[in-house]
Amino acid sequence: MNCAQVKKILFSGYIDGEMPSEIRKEVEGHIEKCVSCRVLEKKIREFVVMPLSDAERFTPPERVWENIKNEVKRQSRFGGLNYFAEWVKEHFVFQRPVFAAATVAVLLAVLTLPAVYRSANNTEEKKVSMYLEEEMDFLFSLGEGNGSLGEDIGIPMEDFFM
Amino acid sequence: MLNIPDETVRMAAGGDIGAFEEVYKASSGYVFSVAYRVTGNRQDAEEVTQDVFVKVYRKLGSFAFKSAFSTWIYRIAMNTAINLYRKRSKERGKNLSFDDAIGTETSSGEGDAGKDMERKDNEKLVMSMLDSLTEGQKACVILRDIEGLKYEEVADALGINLNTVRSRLSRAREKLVDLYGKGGSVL
Repeated sequence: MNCAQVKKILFSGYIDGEMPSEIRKEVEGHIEKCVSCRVLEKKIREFVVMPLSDAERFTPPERVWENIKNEVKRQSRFGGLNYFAEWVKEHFVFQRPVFAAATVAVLLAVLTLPAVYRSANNTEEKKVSMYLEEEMDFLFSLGEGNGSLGEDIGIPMEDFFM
Repeated sequence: MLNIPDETVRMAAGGDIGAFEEVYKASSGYVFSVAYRVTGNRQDAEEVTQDVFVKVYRKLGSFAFKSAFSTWIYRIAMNTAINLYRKRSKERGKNLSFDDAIGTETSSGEGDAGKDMERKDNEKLVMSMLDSLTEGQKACVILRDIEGLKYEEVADALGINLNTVRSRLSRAREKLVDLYGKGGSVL
Protein backbone atom coordinates (compact mmCIF):
# COMPACT_ATOMS: atom_id res chain seq x y z
CA MET A 1 0.00 0.00 0.00
CA ASN A 2 1.46 3.37 -1.00
CA CYS A 3 1.13 6.77 0.71
CA ALA A 4 -1.62 8.04 -1.62
CA GLN A 5 -3.79 4.98 -0.88
CA VAL A 6 -3.14 5.19 2.85
CA LYS A 7 -3.94 8.91 2.99
CA LYS A 8 -7.25 8.28 1.26
CA ILE A 9 -8.16 5.63 3.84
CA LEU A 10 -6.92 7.78 6.74
CA PHE A 11 -9.44 10.52 6.03
CA SER A 12 -12.47 8.29 6.54
CA GLY A 13 -12.60 4.55 7.30
CA TYR A 14 -9.42 4.26 9.35
CA ILE A 15 -10.15 7.20 11.63
CA ASP A 16 -13.71 6.00 12.22
CA GLY A 17 -12.80 2.35 12.64
CA GLU A 18 -15.12 1.45 9.78
CA MET A 19 -13.04 -0.85 7.64
CA PRO A 20 -12.11 -4.54 7.37
CA SER A 21 -9.50 -5.59 9.92
CA GLU A 22 -7.00 -6.86 7.32
CA ILE A 23 -6.87 -3.44 5.60
CA ARG A 24 -6.60 -1.77 8.98
CA LYS A 25 -3.55 -3.88 9.80
CA GLU A 26 -1.96 -2.95 6.48
CA VAL A 27 -2.53 0.76 7.15
CA GLU A 28 -1.12 0.43 10.66
CA GLY A 29 1.96 -1.27 9.25
CA HIS A 30 2.45 1.56 6.77
CA ILE A 31 1.98 4.29 9.40
CA GLU A 32 4.63 2.74 11.62
CA LYS A 33 7.19 3.12 8.88
CA CYS A 34 6.03 6.32 7.16
CA VAL A 35 6.52 9.62 9.02
CA SER A 36 4.39 11.73 6.69
CA CYS A 37 1.36 9.42 6.99
CA ARG A 38 1.86 9.24 10.76
CA VAL A 39 1.86 13.04 10.95
CA LEU A 40 -1.29 13.21 8.85
CA GLU A 41 -3.10 10.67 11.03
CA LYS A 42 -2.29 12.68 14.16
CA LYS A 43 -3.31 15.92 12.50
CA ILE A 44 -6.70 14.48 11.56
CA ARG A 45 -7.27 13.26 15.10
CA GLU A 46 -5.96 16.36 16.86
CA PHE A 47 -7.29 19.14 14.65
CA VAL A 48 -10.47 17.66 13.25
CA VAL A 49 -11.89 14.68 15.10
CA MET A 50 -11.14 15.85 18.65
CA PRO A 51 -12.64 19.37 18.53
CA LEU A 52 -15.76 17.99 16.86
CA SER A 53 -16.25 15.10 19.26
CA ASP A 54 -15.71 17.51 22.18
CA ALA A 55 -18.39 19.82 20.85
CA GLU A 56 -20.98 20.99 23.35
CA ARG A 57 -24.28 19.14 23.85
CA PHE A 58 -27.41 21.21 23.95
CA THR A 59 -30.90 20.89 25.35
CA PRO A 60 -33.84 23.00 24.22
CA PRO A 61 -35.45 25.32 26.78
CA GLU A 62 -38.68 24.25 28.49
CA ARG A 63 -40.80 26.63 26.38
CA VAL A 64 -40.12 24.55 23.28
CA TRP A 65 -42.00 21.57 24.72
CA GLU A 66 -44.83 23.87 25.90
CA ASN A 67 -45.16 25.26 22.36
CA ILE A 68 -45.13 21.79 20.83
CA LYS A 69 -47.75 20.53 23.29
CA ASN A 70 -50.03 23.49 22.57
CA GLU A 71 -49.60 23.11 18.82
CA VAL A 72 -50.29 19.37 18.95
CA LYS A 73 -53.44 19.95 21.04
CA ARG A 74 -54.60 22.69 18.67
CA GLN A 75 -54.06 20.42 15.69
CA SER A 76 -55.93 17.56 17.36
CA ARG A 77 -58.93 19.87 17.79
CA PHE A 78 -58.98 20.70 14.08
CA GLY A 79 -57.87 17.22 13.03
CA GLY A 80 -59.59 16.87 9.62
CA LEU A 81 -58.84 20.41 8.53
CA ASN A 82 -55.19 20.01 9.42
CA TYR A 83 -54.84 16.80 7.48
CA PHE A 84 -56.39 18.56 4.48
CA ALA A 85 -53.98 21.50 4.86
CA GLU A 86 -51.10 19.05 5.14
CA TRP A 87 -52.28 17.20 2.03
CA VAL A 88 -52.45 20.45 0.08
CA LYS A 89 -49.01 21.43 1.33
CA GLU A 90 -47.51 18.10 0.34
CA HIS A 91 -49.12 17.89 -3.07
CA PHE A 92 -48.73 21.49 -4.13
CA VAL A 93 -45.35 22.24 -2.69
CA PHE A 94 -42.92 24.14 -4.92
CA GLN A 95 -39.21 23.53 -4.54
CA ARG A 96 -38.31 26.85 -6.15
CA PRO A 97 -40.15 30.19 -6.19
CA VAL A 98 -39.73 30.33 -9.97
CA PHE A 99 -41.94 27.24 -10.36
CA ALA A 100 -44.57 28.79 -8.14
CA ALA A 101 -44.41 32.03 -10.16
CA ALA A 102 -44.69 30.12 -13.45
CA THR A 103 -47.70 28.18 -12.19
CA VAL A 104 -49.42 31.36 -11.02
CA ALA A 105 -48.73 32.98 -14.41
CA VAL A 106 -50.21 30.01 -16.29
CA LEU A 107 -53.26 29.91 -14.00
CA LEU A 108 -53.81 33.65 -14.48
CA ALA A 109 -53.50 33.27 -18.24
CA VAL A 110 -55.99 30.41 -18.30
CA LEU A 111 -58.46 32.28 -16.11
CA THR A 112 -58.23 35.64 -17.88
CA LEU A 113 -58.09 34.43 -21.51
CA PRO A 114 -61.86 33.85 -21.92
CA ALA A 115 -62.58 37.29 -20.48
CA VAL A 116 -60.07 38.95 -22.82
CA TYR A 117 -61.50 37.00 -25.75
CA ARG A 118 -65.01 38.02 -24.81
CA SER A 119 -64.03 41.67 -24.48
CA ALA A 120 -62.24 41.55 -27.85
CA ASN A 121 -65.40 40.10 -29.37
CA ASN A 122 -67.46 42.83 -27.76
CA THR A 123 -65.27 45.49 -29.36
CA GLU A 124 -65.80 43.90 -32.77
CA GLU A 125 -69.54 43.69 -32.19
CA LYS A 126 -69.63 47.33 -31.17
CA LYS A 127 -67.74 48.34 -34.30
CA VAL A 128 -70.17 46.43 -36.53
CA SER A 129 -73.26 47.83 -34.84
CA MET A 130 -71.87 51.40 -35.04
CA TYR A 131 -71.19 50.89 -38.73
CA LEU A 132 -74.70 49.57 -39.29
CA GLU A 133 -76.18 52.50 -37.39
CA GLU A 134 -74.21 54.97 -39.48
CA GLU A 135 -75.29 53.21 -42.64
CA MET A 136 -78.94 53.29 -41.53
CA ASP A 137 -78.70 57.00 -40.70
CA PHE A 138 -77.19 57.62 -44.10
CA LEU A 139 -79.90 55.68 -45.90
CA PHE A 140 -82.68 57.42 -43.95
CA SER A 141 -81.09 60.78 -44.65
CA LEU A 142 -81.34 60.05 -48.37
CA GLY A 143 -85.10 60.14 -48.24
CA GLU A 144 -85.38 63.29 -46.14
CA GLY A 145 -84.56 65.65 -49.05
CA ASN A 146 -82.19 67.93 -47.26
CA GLY A 147 -78.84 67.67 -49.02
CA SER A 148 -79.48 64.08 -50.01
CA LEU A 149 -77.96 62.16 -52.88
CA GLY A 150 -81.13 62.53 -55.04
CA GLU A 151 -81.14 66.29 -54.89
CA ASP A 152 -77.45 66.61 -55.63
CA ILE A 153 -77.77 64.94 -58.99
CA GLY A 154 -81.10 66.60 -59.72
CA ILE A 155 -83.20 63.40 -60.05
CA PRO A 156 -86.08 62.62 -57.65
CA MET A 157 -85.66 59.20 -56.10
CA GLU A 158 -89.09 58.01 -57.28
CA ASP A 159 -88.24 58.79 -60.90
CA PHE A 160 -84.95 57.08 -60.55
CA PHE A 161 -86.48 53.81 -59.37
CA MET A 162 -89.51 53.80 -61.68
CA MET B 1 -28.35 6.72 19.01
CA LEU B 2 -31.63 7.20 20.77
CA ASN B 3 -33.25 4.41 22.69
CA ILE B 4 -37.01 4.66 22.54
CA PRO B 5 -39.12 1.51 22.98
CA ASP B 6 -41.38 0.69 20.01
CA GLU B 7 -44.33 0.45 22.39
CA THR B 8 -43.85 4.08 23.46
CA VAL B 9 -43.75 5.12 19.81
CA ARG B 10 -46.97 3.17 19.11
CA MET B 11 -48.71 4.77 22.09
CA ALA B 12 -47.60 8.22 20.99
CA ALA B 13 -48.87 7.45 17.47
CA GLY B 14 -52.22 6.61 19.03
CA GLY B 15 -52.44 10.11 20.48
CA ASP B 16 -51.05 9.42 23.97
CA ILE B 17 -49.51 12.78 24.85
CA GLY B 18 -47.62 11.27 27.81
CA ALA B 19 -45.91 8.77 25.52
CA PHE B 20 -45.17 11.56 23.07
CA GLU B 21 -43.55 13.53 25.86
CA GLU B 22 -41.30 10.54 26.54
CA VAL B 23 -40.31 10.48 22.88
CA TYR B 24 -39.60 14.20 23.10
CA LYS B 25 -37.51 13.89 26.26
CA ALA B 26 -35.44 11.08 24.76
CA SER B 27 -34.74 12.78 21.47
CA SER B 28 -35.10 16.55 21.80
CA GLY B 29 -31.46 17.04 22.83
CA TYR B 30 -30.22 15.34 19.65
CA VAL B 31 -32.69 17.21 17.47
CA PHE B 32 -31.83 20.54 19.06
CA SER B 33 -28.07 19.92 18.76
CA VAL B 34 -28.32 18.93 15.11
CA ALA B 35 -30.52 21.95 14.41
CA TYR B 36 -28.13 24.26 16.21
CA ARG B 37 -25.09 22.90 14.36
CA VAL B 38 -26.82 23.28 11.00
CA THR B 39 -28.41 26.69 11.52
CA GLY B 40 -25.68 28.12 13.76
CA ASN B 41 -28.29 29.96 15.75
CA ARG B 42 -30.17 29.15 18.93
CA GLN B 43 -33.50 30.77 18.03
CA ASP B 44 -33.55 28.92 14.72
CA ALA B 45 -32.64 25.69 16.49
CA GLU B 46 -35.68 26.17 18.77
CA GLU B 47 -37.90 26.79 15.76
CA VAL B 48 -36.56 23.68 14.03
CA THR B 49 -37.04 21.54 17.14
CA GLN B 50 -40.62 22.71 17.44
CA ASP B 51 -41.33 22.04 13.75
CA VAL B 52 -39.68 18.63 13.89
CA PHE B 53 -41.77 17.38 16.81
CA VAL B 54 -45.01 18.72 15.41
CA LYS B 55 -44.18 16.87 12.17
CA VAL B 56 -43.19 13.75 14.13
CA TYR B 57 -46.49 13.77 16.01
CA ARG B 58 -48.48 14.19 12.81
CA LYS B 59 -46.59 11.48 10.93
CA LEU B 60 -46.10 8.99 13.74
CA GLY B 61 -49.07 6.99 12.48
CA SER B 62 -47.33 6.39 9.15
CA PHE B 63 -44.03 5.29 10.70
CA ALA B 64 -43.68 1.65 9.61
CA PHE B 65 -40.82 0.56 11.94
CA LYS B 66 -38.82 -0.52 8.87
CA SER B 67 -35.94 1.76 9.81
CA ALA B 68 -34.79 2.82 13.27
CA PHE B 69 -37.05 5.42 14.84
CA SER B 70 -33.99 7.48 15.74
CA THR B 71 -32.81 7.54 12.11
CA TRP B 72 -36.27 8.70 11.08
CA ILE B 73 -36.14 11.57 13.57
CA TYR B 74 -32.59 12.50 12.52
CA ARG B 75 -33.75 12.64 8.91
CA ILE B 76 -36.68 14.93 9.70
CA ALA B 77 -34.44 17.09 11.88
CA MET B 78 -31.72 17.39 9.27
CA ASN B 79 -34.17 18.22 6.46
CA THR B 80 -36.04 20.78 8.53
CA ALA B 81 -32.81 22.39 9.75
CA ILE B 82 -31.28 22.58 6.26
CA ASN B 83 -34.47 24.11 4.86
CA LEU B 84 -34.51 26.79 7.52
CA TYR B 85 -30.78 27.41 7.10
CA ARG B 86 -31.28 27.94 3.34
CA LYS B 87 -34.19 30.26 3.99
CA ARG B 88 -32.24 32.31 6.52
CA SER B 89 -29.16 32.45 4.29
CA LYS B 90 -31.31 33.91 1.51
CA GLU B 91 -32.93 36.40 3.87
CA ARG B 92 -29.66 37.62 5.32
CA GLY B 93 -27.52 37.27 2.25
CA LYS B 94 -24.87 35.83 4.48
CA ASN B 95 -24.88 33.50 7.48
CA LEU B 96 -24.98 34.86 10.97
CA SER B 97 -21.67 35.77 12.45
CA PHE B 98 -20.41 33.44 15.10
CA ASP B 99 -20.80 36.07 17.80
CA ASP B 100 -24.51 36.42 16.96
CA ALA B 101 -24.90 32.68 17.04
CA ILE B 102 -23.05 32.16 20.27
CA GLY B 103 -24.78 35.07 22.00
CA THR B 104 -27.33 32.88 23.76
CA GLU B 105 -25.11 29.90 24.24
CA THR B 106 -25.46 26.99 26.57
CA SER B 107 -24.98 27.41 30.27
CA SER B 108 -22.23 25.15 31.47
CA GLY B 109 -23.18 25.69 35.06
CA GLU B 110 -20.56 26.73 37.55
CA GLY B 111 -17.10 25.93 36.43
CA ASP B 112 -13.75 27.53 36.49
CA ALA B 113 -13.06 30.40 34.13
CA GLY B 114 -10.27 28.49 32.36
CA LYS B 115 -12.54 25.60 31.42
CA ASP B 116 -15.28 27.95 30.39
CA MET B 117 -12.89 29.79 28.12
CA GLU B 118 -11.67 26.51 26.67
CA ARG B 119 -15.25 25.42 26.02
CA LYS B 120 -16.09 28.70 24.32
CA ASP B 121 -12.95 28.51 22.20
CA ASN B 122 -13.80 24.99 21.12
CA GLU B 123 -17.36 26.05 20.30
CA LYS B 124 -16.04 28.88 18.19
CA LEU B 125 -13.70 26.51 16.40
CA VAL B 126 -16.44 23.91 15.79
CA MET B 127 -18.83 26.48 14.32
CA SER B 128 -16.13 27.92 12.12
CA MET B 129 -15.12 24.44 10.94
CA LEU B 130 -18.69 23.58 10.05
CA ASP B 131 -19.11 26.89 8.29
CA SER B 132 -16.23 26.07 5.95
CA LEU B 133 -17.91 22.91 4.65
CA THR B 134 -20.47 22.33 1.94
CA GLU B 135 -24.01 21.52 3.03
CA GLY B 136 -23.60 17.79 2.30
CA GLN B 137 -20.23 17.54 4.05
CA LYS B 138 -21.54 19.48 7.03
CA ALA B 139 -24.50 17.11 7.44
CA CYS B 140 -22.19 14.06 7.41
CA VAL B 141 -19.69 15.63 9.82
CA ILE B 142 -22.44 16.65 12.27
CA LEU B 143 -23.97 13.18 12.34
CA ARG B 144 -20.70 11.24 12.36
CA ASP B 145 -18.19 13.37 14.29
CA ILE B 146 -20.48 15.24 16.66
CA GLU B 147 -23.43 12.89 17.10
CA GLY B 148 -21.33 9.74 16.76
CA LEU B 149 -23.56 7.87 14.31
CA LYS B 150 -22.17 4.93 12.35
CA TYR B 151 -21.69 5.29 8.58
CA GLU B 152 -24.76 3.19 7.89
CA GLU B 153 -26.88 5.30 10.23
CA VAL B 154 -25.59 8.50 8.62
CA ALA B 155 -26.45 7.09 5.19
CA ASP B 156 -29.96 6.15 6.37
CA ALA B 157 -30.58 9.48 8.04
CA LEU B 158 -29.49 11.46 4.99
CA GLY B 159 -30.93 9.11 2.38
CA ILE B 160 -27.56 8.65 0.64
CA ASN B 161 -25.36 5.59 0.08
CA LEU B 162 -22.39 4.49 2.15
CA ASN B 163 -19.81 5.50 -0.45
CA THR B 164 -21.21 9.02 -0.54
CA VAL B 165 -20.88 9.20 3.25
CA ARG B 166 -17.26 8.05 3.00
CA SER B 167 -16.34 10.47 0.25
CA ARG B 168 -18.07 13.44 1.88
CA LEU B 169 -16.35 12.76 5.21
CA SER B 170 -13.04 12.28 3.49
CA ARG B 171 -13.28 15.55 1.54
CA ALA B 172 -14.52 17.42 4.59
CA ARG B 173 -11.61 16.24 6.73
CA GLU B 174 -9.10 16.93 4.02
CA LYS B 175 -10.39 20.49 3.83
CA LEU B 176 -10.42 20.88 7.62
CA VAL B 177 -6.85 19.60 7.95
CA ASP B 178 -5.80 22.10 5.28
CA LEU B 179 -7.53 24.95 7.08
CA TYR B 180 -6.91 24.14 10.72
CA GLY B 181 -4.05 21.65 10.84
CA LYS B 182 -1.19 24.01 10.12
CA GLY B 183 -0.13 24.98 13.62
CA GLY B 184 0.68 23.01 16.73
CA SER B 185 2.84 19.98 17.25
CA VAL B 186 1.58 16.64 16.21
CA LEU B 187 4.50 14.43 16.95
